[in-house]
This record gives sequence, C-alpha cells and structure tokens, in this order.
Amino acid sequence: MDQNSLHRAGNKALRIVHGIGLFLAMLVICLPGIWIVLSSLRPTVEIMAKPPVWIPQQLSLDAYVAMFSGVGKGGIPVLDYFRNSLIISVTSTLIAIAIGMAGGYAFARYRFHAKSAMFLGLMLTRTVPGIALSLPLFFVFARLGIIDTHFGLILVYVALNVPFTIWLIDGFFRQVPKDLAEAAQIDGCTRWQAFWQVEFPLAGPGIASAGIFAFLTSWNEFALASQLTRSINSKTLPVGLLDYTAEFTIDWRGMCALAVVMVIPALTLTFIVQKHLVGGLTSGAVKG
Amino acid sequence: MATVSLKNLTKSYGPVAVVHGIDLEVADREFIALVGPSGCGKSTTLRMIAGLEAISDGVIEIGGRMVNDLPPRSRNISMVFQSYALYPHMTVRENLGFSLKIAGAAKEEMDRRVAEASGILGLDQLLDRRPSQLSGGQRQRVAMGRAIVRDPDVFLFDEPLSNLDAKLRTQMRTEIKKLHAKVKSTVIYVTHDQVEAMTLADRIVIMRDGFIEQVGTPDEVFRRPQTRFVAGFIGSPPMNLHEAVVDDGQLLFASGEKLPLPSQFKANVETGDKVVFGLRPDDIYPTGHGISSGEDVDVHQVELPVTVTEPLGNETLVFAEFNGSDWVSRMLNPKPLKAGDRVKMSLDLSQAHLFSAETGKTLRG
Amino acid sequence: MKGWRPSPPLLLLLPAVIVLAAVVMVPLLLSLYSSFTPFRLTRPETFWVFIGARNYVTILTSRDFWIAFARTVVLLTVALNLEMLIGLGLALLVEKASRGQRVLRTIMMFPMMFSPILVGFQFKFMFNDNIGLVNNALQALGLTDRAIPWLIDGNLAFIAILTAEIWSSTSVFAILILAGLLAMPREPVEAARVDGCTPWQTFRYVTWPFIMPFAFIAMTIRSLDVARAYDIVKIMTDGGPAGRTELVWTLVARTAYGDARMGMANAMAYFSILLSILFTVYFYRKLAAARTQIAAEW
Repeated sequence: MDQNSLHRAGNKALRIVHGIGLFLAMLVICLPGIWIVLSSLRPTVEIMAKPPVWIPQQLSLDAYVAMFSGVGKGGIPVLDYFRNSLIISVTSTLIAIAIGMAGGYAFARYRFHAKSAMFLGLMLTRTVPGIALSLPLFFVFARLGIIDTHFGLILVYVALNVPFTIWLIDGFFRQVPKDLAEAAQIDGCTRWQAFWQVEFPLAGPGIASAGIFAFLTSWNEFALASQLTRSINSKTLPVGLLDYTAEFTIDWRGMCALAVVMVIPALTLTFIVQKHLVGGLTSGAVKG
Repeated sequence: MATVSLKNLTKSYGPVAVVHGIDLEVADREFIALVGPSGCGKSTTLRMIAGLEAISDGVIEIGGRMVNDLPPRSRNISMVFQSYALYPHMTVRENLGFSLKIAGAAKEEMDRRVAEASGILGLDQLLDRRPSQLSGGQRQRVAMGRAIVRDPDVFLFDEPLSNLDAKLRTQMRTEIKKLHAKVKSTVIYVTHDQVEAMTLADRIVIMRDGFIEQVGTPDEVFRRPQTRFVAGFIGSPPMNLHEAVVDDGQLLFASGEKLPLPSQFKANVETGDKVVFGLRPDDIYPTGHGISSGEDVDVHQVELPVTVTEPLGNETLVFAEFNGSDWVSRMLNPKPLKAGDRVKMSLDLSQAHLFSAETGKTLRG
Repeated sequence: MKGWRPSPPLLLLLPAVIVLAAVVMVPLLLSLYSSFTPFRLTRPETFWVFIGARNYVTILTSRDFWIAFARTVVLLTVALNLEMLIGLGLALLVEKASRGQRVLRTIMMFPMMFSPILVGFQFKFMFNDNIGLVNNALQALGLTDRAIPWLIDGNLAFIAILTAEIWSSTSVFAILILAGLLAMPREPVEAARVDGCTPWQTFRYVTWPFIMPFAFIAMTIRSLDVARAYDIVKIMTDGGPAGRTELVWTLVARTAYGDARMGMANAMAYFSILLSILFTVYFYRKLAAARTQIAAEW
C-alpha cells in the first residue's frame, strides 16, 4: 500500500471508532433514565424477578394510577407535593430573577470599588453546603415559626439562587453593547426607559434561561428542604421521594414513577434553556 | 440650530486628566471635525458634549444654554456611533421612529418624519428589515437617518465611517457632505482619519494628549501648521521633518549636509538654534517634473540618490536619500526612475516650515 | 449643586446583599457562636453555655472526623478530575460528530436536570446487589456468578457513589468545554497543522490553552455546589454501612439531627464550609489567570 491509501484506511478506522465511542457515551448518559421509565411501567414482580426479565412482558400505568389515587390507597400525597414544589419554585425564581437582574446589571454596567471582591463574595455565599446552612436556619426558623411553611423555603431558595442568577445575568447584559443604551438615552430615554426599551428586551431570552435554571435548582433541592419541611404543608417532591422508602424496603416501582413525574418538567425546560444558558456562562469568562 | 461652546472643558479619571481644559467655539451650522491619534481625548470630548460622560470641570453651552449636568435626552442632540448602535430588536422603521415614540409624538407625525428621513437617505425599500439583514453601508445610513429624524440642534458623529471598507467610506463621506448641505445643522465630527476631516469640515480641531494643537480651516492647518505635530499629522504622504541646527544662514543636518535657511525665517532664528525643518512632498520634485510655482524665488537644487519609487499612475512618489534617511517627493509628470539613479531635485524652500525643536511651535513670524 | 446620593450600583446590589445577609450570613454567625457551646436541640438552655474551643478540640482529635474529612477530599478530587477528563472526551467526541450535533448536545445536558436525590435513587436502584441492572448485566454476560455487594462493601460503595457523582456532573464540563471548542477560531489550528504538528501536539499547544478558561468556568460552577454530593450519598448509603462511606456532610447531618448535638455539628459544618470555599476560590483564581492569558493571546 502506498502512503495515501494507508492514510485513507486509517481515517476510515478512526471514523468507525469515533462512531462507536459516541454511541457508547450517549448510551451511558441515557441508560439510567430509560431504565427508570421502563421500571415504572413494569409490575413489581418483574422488577424483582431472579433471573432477571430483560424484555418487559407487560407494561401498565398501575404505578401512576396508584400514586395519584391519594393516601390510604397505597399512594402518597403526590399532588400536594407537586403543588408545594411548584409554588415554592416559581415564587422563589421570580424573586431571585428580580434581585438578580438588579445585581447583574450593576456588575455588567458600572465600575465600582472592590467590584471583583464583591462578586467573589456573593458567589462564596452559594458555596456554603446546604446541610451546613440548614443547622442555623432550622434553629432560626423554628424560633420564627416559619418551619414547614412555603414562605420559609421560598426565602431560602431566593438566597440560594441569587448569586448564580447574578453571574448569569451579568453575562447576558455584557452581551448587549453599551452603545445601544447610550443611543437610547440620546434618543430621549431616561436611563430607566433605556433599560426597559432596549437592554431588557435584548437580554430577555438570557434572563429567561437564568430563571429556568433557578427554577430547576429550587425544584431539585433536597438538603435544606428535608430539614425545613415536615408535612404536606410544604414538603416538596424531592423530600416526598423518601416516602417510598421504609426502613428496609423500597417500593422501587412507585419510586420510579414519582421520579418520572419529577423529571419531566425539568427535561422540558432543558430544551428551552440550553442555547442561552451556555452563552451566559461563557460570555463573562472570556471577556472578563 | 445652535452654537456650541466649550470653556475650560476638563475630564479626569481620578488624578489622570484625559482632556485638559479645552476651549472651543462652534458657530451655528458649522461642520467641525475633531481629529487626532487614538487616545487624544477627541471621543471623550464628544461624549461629554453628548452628556454620556460627566465633565470634571468647565462649561458646555449648546445654543447659549449651559448643559453641564443635563442628561443626554435634554440636550437636543443626536449622535451617530462608530458601531451604529442600531436596536437589533426593532425594524429600520422602528429604529428611525424610536426617538419620536419616546417623545410621545403622534402616529402621523412619526410616519411623516420617518418617511422624510428615509427619502433623504434612500432607505424606503429597507424600512421593514431588521439591522441584521442590512449591509454595512445600509446600517450606516439608518444610523444617520435616526439622527436626522430627531431634528436636533447639534449632530455628533463618533468615527462613523471607520467600520466601512475603503470604497464605501469614500462614498459615505460624499453623502455626509451632501447631507450637511441639506439639513444645515451644526455638526461635530470625530475621526482619526485626516482625509475625512479635511474633506468634510469647515474647521478642523487637531487634538493631542488632551490638548488642542490647532484650530483652523483645512487650508490653514495644511498650509500654516502651528506645531510640528500638526505638520506631521495633516497631509498624505506626510511632511518630511528633519532636525537641524541653524548655522550662519544655513541649516546644518546631522549628516553634515546643509541647506540654505529659507528666507522667510531669517528674522526669527539665530545661529545655534535647534530647529525642525519641514517640507511637503509636493515641494520636492525631480527638476522639471513637479508643480512649477512659476517664478520660483527660493528653489534650491540638489542631486540625490533614489532609493525607492512608488508609481501611482498619475503621479509617482520618489524616495530619495538626504541626511541619512528617505525624503518623499512627488513627481507629477512621471518619468521612469529606478533605485540608485542620481536625480537632480528641486526643493521649493519658499514653502518650507520651521519649528522650534524644543517647543514644537512654528517659527513663522 | 446636588446632594449626596448613594451610587447606583450600590442601590442595585442592595436587595441581593440584604437577602444573602439575612438568610446566609446572619445564620452562619449564629452557628459560629453555637459552635462554641455544647448546644443540644433537646436542651435549649445549653445555648448560653460557652465552652470555648472544646468542640473543635474534640473534632480535631476525632479519628472518625478526620477519616470522613479525608474521604470527602479524596472523593471530590477524584470526581472533579475524572469529570473534567470525561467531559473533555465527551466534548471532543460531540464536536467531531458531523451530524446531529444539536440532538447530541441536548442529550448531553440530560443528567444536569436530574435532581441529585434522583440520581442517588437511580444509582441505588441500579447498584442494588439483588435486583440492580449492574449485577444483572454482569451475571447475564457471565462475568461473575455471584451478587457483588456494591453498596455494602466500603470500597465498592465508594466506587458506586463516584459513578453516580460523575454521571450527574460530567455534563457541566462537557457542555462548557464544547462551547469553548465551538467558539475557537479555526486559523490557529490550521496554522499548527500546516506547521507540521501532530494531532496530539495541535491539541496540547493550541486547542487546550484556548479551552482552558472554559474548563475553569465549569470547575468554578461545579465547586460552587460540591456539597450536592450529600444528596446522592444520603440516599445511596447514608454514610453507611457502619460509616464506611461517611463524608463530612453526612457526619454533620447525623450529629445534628440524629444525635441532636447542634454545637458540635456546627463546628464540623465550619470545616465543610471552609472546604467548599477553598475549592471555589482556588478555581476562581485559576479562571481569572486563564482569562487574562487568553485575553492577551487572542
């Protein structure tokens, strides 16, 4: 073989290896999710079967029916948990976005004393492990009587989401050229009008995706919720998942069904955020 | 329409001053160009006039009214940005009408004025497009249209042509000039390109390091540069500038070569003065191949070796060595020359400039 | 001419500062104080007893604590490094794909959207020694004939947790590094190839320096939330069996809520906070350095 055909064969082999690698990687990413969906649709007997049953023999929605049929009929108060999760996540997200927009705008558009130290300081509040924060919060909230309330958890999630929201929104505002706001001011806008007429519409999609990201954080949070909630008054879905575990046994099928219910809103939102999210994260990085 | 007046205008960031108390009077309907190298403070000055930058000291008056602390919207100005700053989420029509919308103008009034501006600039076909669907030249036009619609007292231009390619730039330059003839308002135009400044402006303000070096008509700054900097900055190819010492009615260069001291400076220098001698390329030419200024009173002939020639078709730039470096000369009736040829050059010393080496100021009386 | 006005950025940042002070800083000061008391939830009067650094002394001389602490550091170091490597690999695979990049990118983001608590359950299910997918698959393929006690043996449980952790967090790295690869100008790579660099040299000297800041953003974002691993461990093993997968965070939770020894737990919590802060500051600095470097070169 001459050198050219040698290289051609090498390239072909490389392409095949690449294809296989890509397929395996995607399989590993998807497999756990697929397995959960599958298990939620199979009878418990089949899940427990030894030797394992690979090809599902019968599929049914029994687990979902049982789950939504309420307490006492073998279900858990999923609807209550779902409602709590929704109220808490949406409210805390809206507040966090409002606060984050103000803060992000300050970082993107103004120079001020100790700016980078301030930024790092804000970020560091986010690094405090949930479990470490839950100790004093548990104590304070118990004193204030806001344990097991929507308000308490909303407050915590706002604080949890503000730093990262500021980071993202800072990035999105940086992508809007400063000239535009100045042009608007020359065209007769006050700074406030310039913001709402020009900068906000342009950063809008980014802000929305920052919002979705904040929503997901609240939606998925466990460490704090597990300590600050107690009953159907405020328990969220991640905490509710624990209802399926008894001391030594786990209702795998029911748990898988609840997991699917939890993940579907999150996955739907993924499709919406993906494009803008990365843009916001990286724009701050390279341009500084 | 209005005059603009700057008095002791100063901008400093902390202890660092970038504009050092400049004074400038702009007449009504005048086209003024602020020109200078980057970092000379011209853009900062413009942004202070616009109200986008707070002023540290001094006074800005527009139409006789002090506007020092007024926000941009209350100054009745409009500005064309280097980046055009078109609103990407609005159509061309909305971009043009934005300032009227903010001012709460009636729909008919808005349509009328947008139509008027788009007519002047030939934007009629583009009104429903977004900025992203426009070419560079079209964006430039929309930016100017947005400025016209506002019907301001003063137009501010911040290097509006520097994002265009060379051909388009020349074309837009002509359009801006026509536009000024049509709308007849006061214009302050910032650029780093001296050709733009020369072709467009009624008067040119040459700035350097936050100071004004010279204010004058294009003709004045070209023929009578007040400083060595202006002499080198205005004109293309630039003026030949070389240091020399006055020595008994002659100029002694570092290489030991000499030229006669131009007669118009004789009264202002004496032996031992360190000076900078300047001569435009137009005033050096191979004998018989340049502009003959008729009865030359003060032409000096010298034979020099040619190092490089740059034929441009209608003229040829000839680089010839004198005092150890290349002097540019302009040959208007080109004849073939090649490197190494020794050519007899005419130096029209009546057009020469002389600056003090120490202060950089002109030594013209 | 005008009176004193607070600067706009200060006003804009005020709400954020107030919320964070109220929900994070003040409670943390409170917990700092209580870490110097023998406070127990069951006996409120102990909140006012000051015992100096005794809790800290107890912790610093506790073998269990140091083991848990060391295990946490090892877990984080191994996990972050592997996530970075795998994420890089994944990003390169996807970037080379000629078709379907959008779909691939969306799939890649999947695990990010799973609550850590779900990830814990999912992997607890899959690593179950009796009915789990992993053992079933291994047995069906004939690689082993007995049930491997994934979550019961200390070392194996560590591997299982590591797997879950990597599965859930690699996508952050993959997505950001991919963004870096896509944003990279083509010319330097082409120049390197023309100059005779091998693919490896091209990657090492051209591609990698460019995408490094992106990798550090991922690291910084990731380190903001390293304690998410608590959720996963809590579900998969809860630090057990017999403390063989105990991490700082599970130890804090057990001490506080299991034994009700708040003062002690708060003292431990400060070590975990310190750990998180160290990780974040370290990567944030790297990020700043990489950023200036790239700004200078590109």
